[in-house]
Amino acid sequence: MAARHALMTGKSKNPSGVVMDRPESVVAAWGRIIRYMGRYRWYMLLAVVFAAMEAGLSSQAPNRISAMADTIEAGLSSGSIDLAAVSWLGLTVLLIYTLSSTVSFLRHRTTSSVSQRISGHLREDLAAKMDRLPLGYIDSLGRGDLMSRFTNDTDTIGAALNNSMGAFILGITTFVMCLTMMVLTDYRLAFVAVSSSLLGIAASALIIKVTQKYYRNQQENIGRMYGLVSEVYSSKRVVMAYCGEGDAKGRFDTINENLRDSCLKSEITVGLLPAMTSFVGNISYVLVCLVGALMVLEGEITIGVIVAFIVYVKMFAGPFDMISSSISRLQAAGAASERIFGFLDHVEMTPDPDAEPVGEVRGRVEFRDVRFGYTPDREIIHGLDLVVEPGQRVAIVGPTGAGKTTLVNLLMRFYDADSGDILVDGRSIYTMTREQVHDLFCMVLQDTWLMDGTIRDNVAYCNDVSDADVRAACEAVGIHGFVEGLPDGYDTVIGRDLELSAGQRQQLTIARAMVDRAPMLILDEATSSVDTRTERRIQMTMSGLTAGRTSFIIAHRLSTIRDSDLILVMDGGDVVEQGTHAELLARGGFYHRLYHSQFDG
Amino acid sequence: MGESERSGRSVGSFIRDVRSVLRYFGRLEWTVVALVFVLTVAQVYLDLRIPEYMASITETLVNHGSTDLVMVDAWSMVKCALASLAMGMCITLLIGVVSSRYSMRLREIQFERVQGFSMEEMGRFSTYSLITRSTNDIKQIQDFIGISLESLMRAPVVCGLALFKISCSDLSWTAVTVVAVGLMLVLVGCILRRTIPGFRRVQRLTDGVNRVSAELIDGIRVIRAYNAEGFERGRFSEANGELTRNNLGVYRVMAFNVPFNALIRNSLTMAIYWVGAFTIAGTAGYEARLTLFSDMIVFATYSVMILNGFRTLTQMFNLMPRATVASQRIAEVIDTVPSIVGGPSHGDPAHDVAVSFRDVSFRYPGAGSDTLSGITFDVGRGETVAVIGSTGSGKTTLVNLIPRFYDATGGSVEVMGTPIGDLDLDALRGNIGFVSQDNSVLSGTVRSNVSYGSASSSDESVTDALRTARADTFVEDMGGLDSRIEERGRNLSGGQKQRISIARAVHKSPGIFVFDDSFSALDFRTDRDVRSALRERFPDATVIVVAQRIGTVIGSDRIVVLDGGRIAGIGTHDELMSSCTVYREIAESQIEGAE
Repeated sequence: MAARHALMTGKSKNPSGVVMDRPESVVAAWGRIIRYMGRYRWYMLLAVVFAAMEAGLSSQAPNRISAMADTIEAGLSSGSIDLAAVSWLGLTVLLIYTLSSTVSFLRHRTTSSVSQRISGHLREDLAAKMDRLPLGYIDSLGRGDLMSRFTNDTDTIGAALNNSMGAFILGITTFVMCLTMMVLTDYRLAFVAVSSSLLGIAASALIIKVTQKYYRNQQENIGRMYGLVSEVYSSKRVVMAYCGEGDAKGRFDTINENLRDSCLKSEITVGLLPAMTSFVGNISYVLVCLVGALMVLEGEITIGVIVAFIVYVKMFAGPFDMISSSISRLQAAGAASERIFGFLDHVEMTPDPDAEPVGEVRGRVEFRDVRFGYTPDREIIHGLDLVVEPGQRVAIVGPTGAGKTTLVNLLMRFYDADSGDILVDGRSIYTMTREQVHDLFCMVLQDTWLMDGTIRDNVAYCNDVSDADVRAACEAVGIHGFVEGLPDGYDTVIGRDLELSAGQRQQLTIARAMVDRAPMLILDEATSSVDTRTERRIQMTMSGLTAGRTSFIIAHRLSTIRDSDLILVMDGGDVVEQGTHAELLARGGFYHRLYHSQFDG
Repeated sequence: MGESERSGRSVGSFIRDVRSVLRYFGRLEWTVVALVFVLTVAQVYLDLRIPEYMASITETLVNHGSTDLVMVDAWSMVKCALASLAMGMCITLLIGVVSSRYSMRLREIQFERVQGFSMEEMGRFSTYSLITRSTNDIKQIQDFIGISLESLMRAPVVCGLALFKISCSDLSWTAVTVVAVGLMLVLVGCILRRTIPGFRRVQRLTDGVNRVSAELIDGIRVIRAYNAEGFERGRFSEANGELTRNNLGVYRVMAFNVPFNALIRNSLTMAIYWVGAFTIAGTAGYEARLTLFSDMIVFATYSVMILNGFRTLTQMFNLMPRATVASQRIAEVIDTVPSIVGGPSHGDPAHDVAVSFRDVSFRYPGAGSDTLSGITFDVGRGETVAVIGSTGSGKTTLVNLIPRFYDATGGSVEVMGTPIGDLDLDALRGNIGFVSQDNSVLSGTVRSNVSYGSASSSDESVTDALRTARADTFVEDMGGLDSRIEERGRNLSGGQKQRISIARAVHKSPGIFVFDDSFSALDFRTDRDVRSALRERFPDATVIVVAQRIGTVIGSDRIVVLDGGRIAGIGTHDELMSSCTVYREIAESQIEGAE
């Protein structure tokens, strides 16, 4: 229990605290990506080996080209050029380049496979994490924000890795190889070439550091835009009905302009990098030419050495050019990985205990001094005690906001109680796995969520059910006739081919619950949008279904609840009255007033 | 709304693709582009000057010239490099301005277009796809412009200038360069042909992953209740695996791009020296040979530049397919003409008949049969008319015609004595307080929700509306008018959302109220209280109320009974009890149990 309560502190987290705003966190986030690549370490090693071979091979070429130039130059004054030597060198160079390109291709293939697999893995891990997070945390995140983590953020990371992972690996190995070759050829010129490049790297690092905040702004503004657009579009009816277009446009314009500003800032500052690197490239070119020329004049080196160095300098700059031109993607990827790992690192639900299997369920349910609040500062349920006997049909009534749905949330372990205990047949549900708890109940919820798929798939859902069962369930909820009348029948895709009314959606969710056989039943406003005749029909089937099963029914229609064995009247988080319909009417209290408002209309 | 699958093989379609991405460029954008072009020409010219000084240095060296001469050339090189840096910075600045401003405008144009859509167009595109089009797709275009616009201009400029510089040199070198350029074009062509279809699939498969992840989020309670985590993960993995496999395939082909471009580029330098050796060997005279030699070094540099120009172009090709698909998707939205536009009339709010249906029928786009047919009835000003009927009988569809969320497909609807098509949309909707079944609340505060669309949001008016909707007590408990309401009203119960939505309609003080089953989540007492408070406050308002409960409709002036999209009866409760079987069955199902 202690561990469970320690977890509860997790829900005090401010939703906005999800976005880390410490500047170091980008480095930390990149560290996470690199550790994440750990599972591909053999591939990465292979890529490093390929890169080393590639860099090693291609660093062998320039001195041979310079030898070609030297050979030609030697022949300028002497009159005859050693063409055989030139041809031999040329062939060697061609061979070297062919080999290095082949190795380079293998490296590209490896790194691009790794980067695509990593973004695929990130998506998979995000989906898996969804199952282990407390509902309170998921509810606290904006829907659009969460979805953009699944796609935009993983996509951003994949694209950035694909673009730059190879460049990084090659950059480092090339750096080492080139440096070695340059030092071996002429250490003084090597010093000249490298020092100017290092200066460029330092300047780039500075720019990257300064610009990260613009990228964070940009990602945040993209998130805001996503949130606004998704709300305005999905609340289209309200916007239209209340002529809210002007208001929406005003909010849109503000976000749109902020987004423009942050994009502009990040693009410009980061766009300076390629200009910088190409400047640094030019300067080291100039320096090598100048110092080299002076050395040639002093007679210390030949022109061929300069030619070689010109090639080295270009080679040296190549990977840095690529990195700097993709830096904006890397920056965005940094911001994206903050968001992804912020989610992946969030405190999970308490792990399920090693539970013994649940045996035959009789269905006695007991609440013992249960206290609960969605936020620590506001308690909703204040020490609830309650006993439901096996097979009882329990109706929960009470004004809106009385805590009826909260009760269901606790029973299903969507949320864990802050204190107290809930027992089924004398066993605490906190000693069971969540899966076992969920298996105890079949439930129909207030929100009529249906998945993207056919009517058949939605009714069968995750259960292995025959078509006959699906059909029987649909007949029981009175929607079979409607479905039969559709051109594609049970294969009609909901949403794409067909708009369902609120009542029809409820009918399907009830049918879905009917095929899922569990010992107890929870119906939370399951029939509020279904007409009363259909509801009666559903009830008749249900009563067959609920016979002998403990069932909890939340409803406002008294016609739905009048036959219950036990009616719990809730108000302000407490059960204020309980008893049968007749008892409660006779008492003349809260229930009595509620009941009589029905037909006095 | 699938993306058109035309391939981008020919030059013609390439140009068409670029134009489709840039179709909404305005005068300012084109001016900046022209400016960028001029700056690019200048910068490339400067970059090309640098190797020329190297040629001059080489000559000095071979002639054993003085240190001063070398220094003069080196200084000129530094000046060129600095000037080139300045140009580069200006180009970056200008392109940043264009890409961020253009994407802002695209977002705005698209948003305004969607604002004008009716529910029919919303349904045709699907809300989800419109959201992607307004965010992700525009980002693709912004990235494309930001990254590619420069290379798109630089490549031809570099090639042109470099070709001009070397055209006067030896023909055999030019021939070698032309062969290399040709090889590179073939390589790029082959890669593009293989990858463009794959890149087109990326956007569609991303949509699939989006859809399933939306499912994981929206359905989380059901998924957990059914222990369907494994089942849903399977669905997710399927979509994810398909996307990942597609990406792997595409990028494997892309892996040919850089290495084999480099091979061609590198071999070119070698080939020029090689060919040069033979050319020089075949030339007589020291002076001529020396000129050829320094020409050769310069030529090698230029030819690599030309190929570099092509390389940046191929990088652009990486972004092109996605940007093209994105721009087609955006264009689909912008080119859609809203089917519902307002007329000139403002109607007569004092007209005796508030709403009138004449032989109205309606069929959803793509549906096989009519959802409504032969609907004829009037709602007088100040009257309360209830609509009742079984699930799927067309009640919601019927009231959706009043604020023109959809237009009837047959017959005519008149509001305020004017055919609905002739009414100005703001005048029509401004006079209707519509509360929809899904009782949408918006993220913001209680105040912003209640006063939504109104000019005033004073404490008094908002509190008043909340009181009428019996929402004042729980709003006080929440912490007052400025308490937060989360996205989709997640921190409110169903009944609380309904009352906020009702308060919103009340705050508007319209002439006509339409309640689409908006009392269903209220308990009976609250339901009754709200309705009597409404009547008290708006004695002259017309009220059309869709409901399931007999208790809600029983006091109405008239009740319209719908059955299978047709009117099964119209009258008062008592009349219908004796004349209308459907109504009697509904009533009995409720009253019987109460006895």
